[in-house]
Amino acid sequence: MASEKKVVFLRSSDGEAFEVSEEVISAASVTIKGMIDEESPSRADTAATTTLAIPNVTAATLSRVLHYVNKHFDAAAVVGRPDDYIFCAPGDEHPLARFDDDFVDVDNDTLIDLVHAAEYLHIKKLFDLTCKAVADKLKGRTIDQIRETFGIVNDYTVEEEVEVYRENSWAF
Amino acid sequence: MGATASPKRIKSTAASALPDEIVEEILARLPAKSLRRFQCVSRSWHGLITSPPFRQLHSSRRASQPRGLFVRPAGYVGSFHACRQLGCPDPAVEEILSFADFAPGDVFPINKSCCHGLVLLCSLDYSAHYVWNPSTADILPLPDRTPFRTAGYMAHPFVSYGLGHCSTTDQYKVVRMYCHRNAMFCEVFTLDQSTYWRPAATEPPQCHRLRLRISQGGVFCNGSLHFVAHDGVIIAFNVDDETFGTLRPPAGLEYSFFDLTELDGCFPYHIWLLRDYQGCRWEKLRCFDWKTMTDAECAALKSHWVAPLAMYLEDGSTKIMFGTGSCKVFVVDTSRSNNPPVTLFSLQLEEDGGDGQFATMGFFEESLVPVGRTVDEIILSSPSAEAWCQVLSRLPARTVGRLNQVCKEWRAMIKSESFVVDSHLKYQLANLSSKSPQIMFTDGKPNSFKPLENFIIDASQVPPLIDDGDSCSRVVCSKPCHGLNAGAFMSCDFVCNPITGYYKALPLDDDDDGDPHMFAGRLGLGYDVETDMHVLVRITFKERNLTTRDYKLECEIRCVEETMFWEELDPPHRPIAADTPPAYSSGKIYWMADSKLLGQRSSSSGYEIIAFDVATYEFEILKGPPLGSHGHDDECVSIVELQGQICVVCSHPRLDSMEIWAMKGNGTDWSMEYYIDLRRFTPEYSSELVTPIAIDPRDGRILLSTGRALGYYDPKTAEIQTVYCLGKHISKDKKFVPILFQESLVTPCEQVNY
Repeated sequence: MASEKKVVFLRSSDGEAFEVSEEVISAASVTIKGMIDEESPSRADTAATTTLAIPNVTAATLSRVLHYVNKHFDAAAVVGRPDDYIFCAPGDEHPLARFDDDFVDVDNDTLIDLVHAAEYLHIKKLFDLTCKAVADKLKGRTIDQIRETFGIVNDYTVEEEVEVYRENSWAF
Repeated sequence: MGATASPKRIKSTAASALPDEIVEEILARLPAKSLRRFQCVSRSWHGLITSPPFRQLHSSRRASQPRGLFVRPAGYVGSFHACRQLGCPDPAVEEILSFADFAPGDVFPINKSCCHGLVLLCSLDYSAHYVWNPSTADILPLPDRTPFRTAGYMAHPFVSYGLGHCSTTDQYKVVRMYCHRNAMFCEVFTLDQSTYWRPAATEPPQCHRLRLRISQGGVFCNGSLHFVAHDGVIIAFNVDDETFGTLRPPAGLEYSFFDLTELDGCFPYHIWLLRDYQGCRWEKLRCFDWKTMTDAECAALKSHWVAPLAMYLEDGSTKIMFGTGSCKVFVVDTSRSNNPPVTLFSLQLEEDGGDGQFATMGFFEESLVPVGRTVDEIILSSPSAEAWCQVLSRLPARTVGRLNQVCKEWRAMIKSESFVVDSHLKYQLANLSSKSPQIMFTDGKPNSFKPLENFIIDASQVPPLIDDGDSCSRVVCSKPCHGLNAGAFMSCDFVCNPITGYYKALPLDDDDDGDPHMFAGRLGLGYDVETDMHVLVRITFKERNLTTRDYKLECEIRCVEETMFWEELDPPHRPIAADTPPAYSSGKIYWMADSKLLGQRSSSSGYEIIAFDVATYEFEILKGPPLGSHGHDDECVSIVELQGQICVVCSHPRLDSMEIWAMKGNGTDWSMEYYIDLRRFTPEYSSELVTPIAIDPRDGRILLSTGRALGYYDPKTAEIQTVYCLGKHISKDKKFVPILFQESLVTPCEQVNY
């Protein structure tokens, strides 16, 4: 085993390549770990660095994802804190809570892109975080605000809208 | 890797030695069901068999083959059978669709002649519709049994369905017509594409009101679906461009009662045949007349349902084949008068369905036409919908209910079973440990479920209450089990979802020879993960004499989802304790055995527990915890589930204390988890009144209820913190019934009453 860290390159849908530690990204993303494992037999004898195509994720989103991954999964960055820091005593704010809050404090399109990326890359913690953030944005908003926020076209007629309201009156 | 894979490779080389066209021609001669299996042979075969050109080739090669007859005896439980050799002296009949694949009750085809191999089935009792391919046994339930615009007005409006093929796009469309607030509506559902019913491209003509009949669907002919209006006019809905036209019926039939059907691509009116579609020219065919038949012939064929199935030429004369509600097929020669009908086929099964008033049969052809993906599959095939499912799963049920209003796609997603059960409920149940127990109050009646928070916020409000001493108003309600709760009253049990208002009453049989007293042990609710169904077990005493210790139990079981009847079951070998409701945990329902009824017989072995496995339907008797060490016979035991563990609670009124024992290792061991000394909290929390309801997973505190006060007992500090209590001004005989609930959108499919 070489002492220096192995790295892989991830190429976004718009062609930009990002360097990331193989160990870190493997710990974070089930999808990429699978890709690396598939590549590894052919890679063992060559010294060339692997470039993996991530066709479903744009450069803007991928760079954010990697920022998250490096913060959460790089053991060196979370020095002294075991990986199970989420099991802190109740009431204790976990050390990355502030980072997470800032991370999801973005516009809706970016957030939705992050949900998709987390799902595609199979990064469970990021997926939970972003889903929760979108869910929080839905809470306490009116139906009109939700449509506006997420760019959803209202395809009900006025009458139908009244009828759907009546159908689900238990929820109002 | 290579060694095991090589034999397969050799075989595939041998098969691929044949030119592709020949393989295609060979396969095209096989029945559809075999081809469905052969799809698994290889990727290329799968591609070939599912391709539209091959489908065409297959249907043209099979066109010369005689069509098969599918038939289902009338009645509540019946499977569909097929007969492919009609006219043979002793035709073979095979089962092609089990009754387990569709809703129970009356299920019948609403198009007697299939549309390219597809049949539309209707379940009367659940007003559900299915698209079915009898040759491949594929079946697709259609979504949205009740059009949402009629929800709240009419529980079950009459809706006429029809199935047609759009030749320009090669799509199959299910069309439904209904009347609501004096307007006709037409909605379209495209197979393998739609996730919800959309309005047709043009509006139906409002001047002709349709005769809406569940049993009679639209008839597909000449590219249009035909429905009959009250004034006799036939409304033709062009499936291609979704426009409406009209046809005049035969003169003189305008206001009489008639059925439309399709034979040989034309319409007969029992005897009126539409010869020329464009010119609307009807030809009257001679048919049979009940009056000319002998009594024996009449008796053999008379049925509540008689309809023409097919018309064909034989020996130069036109013959019409009829089907009956008693599963018989007979043929009438139309070219000769006074010709007695000839019985061609009669279904002989062990279980005789008798005579039915709905269609029992139809013809089908070998066809590879797929019924299309389910709505759930279509929704989940979109990555954005999948992500939204995950997002919405993190919201409380009530918030999700509101989001039905965002757009039609969201409504389709929120209503889909994969969202409700596999996504939302699964997430909510997996995250129970981060939430304190959620409580509602109820008096057991529908719409009486009110969240505890309402009464904490506004102390002037009074929760639903029951009279403590009055057994008539007594109610027990189970803990939530996979999104539903179950409860019992004096003479009625119920299953409900306290959030969505779903409430299904399950009245007890009227025979009064049983024990008239409502008792808490009567109804148990469990969930079978294998079948995805909620299981209800009802145990009643037919005889119960505490003096002589004679008793007789009766036990019945049913599923909440899509079952109509209780099934009898051998009762357990012990009497159940009447005063404590059963508890459910991981696949088993547990009751306390009644020690009073068992009397001396049980004293040596101590308390016993009766466990019922919801998957195997079997009872077993387990040993209870080693109680009674204090030597007092006034102790009171009950069974409860706390944090997934089955616990026995033992109250000692003399010591004013309570022990909570947890079952370990599938009932082999018990350990005392808590000993609660209630002396300091008496009289408010005296041991006679207190029942533990739940444990807060976040801090381990135990939620206790007395019926007048709710409080958390902290085992670490031995303190009770009251979260809610009834005011002093409320009569002493009144009590509240607290129930736990889960964030759940689960609403089982309900039977309809017309």
